[in-house]
Amino acid sequence: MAIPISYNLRNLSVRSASTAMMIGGVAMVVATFVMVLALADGFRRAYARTGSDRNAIVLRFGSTSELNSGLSRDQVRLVAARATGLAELAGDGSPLVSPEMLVVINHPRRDDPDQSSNLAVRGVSPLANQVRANLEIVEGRWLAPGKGELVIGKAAAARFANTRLGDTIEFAKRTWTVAGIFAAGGGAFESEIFGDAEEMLNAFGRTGFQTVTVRLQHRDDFESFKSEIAKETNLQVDVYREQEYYVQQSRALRNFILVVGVVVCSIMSVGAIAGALNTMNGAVLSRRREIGTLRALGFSRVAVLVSFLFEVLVLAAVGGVIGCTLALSVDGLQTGTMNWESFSDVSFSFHVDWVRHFGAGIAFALVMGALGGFFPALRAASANISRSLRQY
Amino acid sequence: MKYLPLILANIVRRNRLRNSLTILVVALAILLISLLIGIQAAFTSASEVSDAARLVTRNKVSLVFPLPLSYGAKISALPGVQTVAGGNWFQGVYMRPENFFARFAVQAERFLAMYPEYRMSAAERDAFLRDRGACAIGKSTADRFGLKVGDQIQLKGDIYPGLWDFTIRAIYTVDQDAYDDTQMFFHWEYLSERIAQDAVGFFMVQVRDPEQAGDIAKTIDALFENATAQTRTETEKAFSLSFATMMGNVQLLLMVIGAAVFLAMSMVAINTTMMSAQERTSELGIQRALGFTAGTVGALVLVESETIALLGAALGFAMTLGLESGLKSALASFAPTFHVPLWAYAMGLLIAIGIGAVSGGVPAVRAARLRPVDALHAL
Repeated sequence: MAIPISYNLRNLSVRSASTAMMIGGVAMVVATFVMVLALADGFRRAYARTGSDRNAIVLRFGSTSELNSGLSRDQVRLVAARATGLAELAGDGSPLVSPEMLVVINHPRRDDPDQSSNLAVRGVSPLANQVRANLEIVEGRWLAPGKGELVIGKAAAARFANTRLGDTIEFAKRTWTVAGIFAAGGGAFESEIFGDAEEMLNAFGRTGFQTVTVRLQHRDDFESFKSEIAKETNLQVDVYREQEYYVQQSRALRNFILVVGVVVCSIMSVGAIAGALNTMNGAVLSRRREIGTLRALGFSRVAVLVSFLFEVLVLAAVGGVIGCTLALSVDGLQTGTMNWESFSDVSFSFHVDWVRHFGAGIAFALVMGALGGFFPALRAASANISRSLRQY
Repeated sequence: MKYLPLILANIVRRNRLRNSLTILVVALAILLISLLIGIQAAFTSASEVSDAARLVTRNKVSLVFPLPLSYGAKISALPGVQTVAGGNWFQGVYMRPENFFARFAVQAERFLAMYPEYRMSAAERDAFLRDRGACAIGKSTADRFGLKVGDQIQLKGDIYPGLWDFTIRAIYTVDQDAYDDTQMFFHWEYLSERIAQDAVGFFMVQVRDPEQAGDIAKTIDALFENATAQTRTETEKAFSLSFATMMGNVQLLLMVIGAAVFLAMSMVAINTTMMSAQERTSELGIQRALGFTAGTVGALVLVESETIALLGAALGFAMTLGLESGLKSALASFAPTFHVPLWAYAMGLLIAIGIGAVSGGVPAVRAARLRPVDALHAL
């Protein structure tokens, strides 16, 4: 027969200070753990939402980022020709192909105009808003080519100075006007500013583009597009699915967050397990006579073991839930950093995933509880009845 | 002092498991906080050891835009300027992208002249300067990949496409942890010849008098005000700091984690000390009955918890020292100057004393207030 659960619950309330401390310790570890997961995931999501799996991006062979890619006009023409029949068509029948140029400018920040950060500036085709299907103008309008206009991602508009609708920005020796603010489904494009590629090539004194992005008619057309490109043996380019490409670009920083996070959490969890061990050992010691009584009443060793394990798991679970709740406070919190791959500022938000992160957090709490509680529970179960009942 | 045996007996003889666990917990807290401080310091260390006599001139638009080589000679001609060395960020991939370390093409002779902190033997230095296809790498990178002088290394270029071969002619060391000894330097001429371009990513400018650095920076920028490529010149410190600020909230994040660690670990430590004091209620009553004053009994409890916390700190410091070099190589790509600064140890000591005080304080007061008659009643 099992020992009633109310016995454990009452015990917990009797030893309230000690109970609270153990719950607190587990909660802190779980909160840190979930926050790290939410940070790494938020960063990955920003990039996963940047590209579409229906788009293909073409870069120079061997280039590791858009910045160090380079494509001549001839290469761009060949890529566009090979995309015929595979690329989606715009309303006017022209294929949705965007040859693009990407540079980084040092621009004053909004929070402190004396400080500047690296802002990514992308010269795009006037059709780029159709190539990127999730691009949505939230203020103003899409840029008109040839008029020195810019559209600004909403995250860039929040982090950089002079980026409101109608503002003018000076770079590359000319003045540009902000014609619109856009959203891009929370992706990294929201941290960039877009202008007309031809105008930008001119202003920055460049002759070639860096990448070409093609919107395919169907996501399965990617392989055909890739083999079409491969037929052009002199082309010397790499072709990626746009979405996979951007996720790849976030890898280095995400790995850094995860490595630091895992080291911190595993060291912390050893501490929390030691705490659980101490608490439960104390609980077992101070309840020696009770345990003896229970055993004398006929409860089996297994029942005692299960009862103590149950008690520590309840404690750990409560700590886990509190930790997850604490971590929830950072959900959606906007932050930004410089992504080393793109050498520019990228905004992203903490993303707490109710199922995966909370599941992981509570599982982590239960594992800590079980590891810390098992041996004390075993000790309780294996106690000698007559010795336990003796006065000490 | 005469109570020392009593305190020691309490720690060593009684409930060894519990006390060692508490010591471990405090040690882990100290270890974590030292490591977090080390990572945080790595982001800013470059600016702390920067030389006030060195300026960085780069394209005003941003670092990804080059400057003409001819700017170097013009800057050198300015009064107060001692040496100017141009350089480019090469990047590239060494076998696999994970094997990252910074790689620069520099006008080597002048560059080494203004960076005495990169130390190498005169023989290696000459060998490096004589051989156009040579490179110099830092000791950390040499150790990380098992490279030695005379070895060949090949980089796959990304900014500058193609395969690039170098002979290692020098391995430099640094005498301060805050200096980055992971970087690779090779001859700028080797790069410019092959790409047939005279473009320079940045100029390092050494001035004679650090007091004048600010004025000279302004003069340089004014010189190219109306040129095709305008410049931005700042002190080496400001330049490194701008990188640190671009990293954004990393520092805040590390502080939040540090606070969580501190809270979690203190709770565990407080919990155990309180439990141990509670269990000893009757014993404390006997001490009072034997004539120990309230103050002595309380102080004994407090000293005991402080001793445990300080033992924890000592263990934590030992673990930090033991793990530091391993972590330095694990973090070589991300935070090459990772090291635990001295003040992190001071901080750890304070934290340990704090944990001891908080965890011993409550039970100590309780012990002091104990009426012997009540305490003995429980027996």
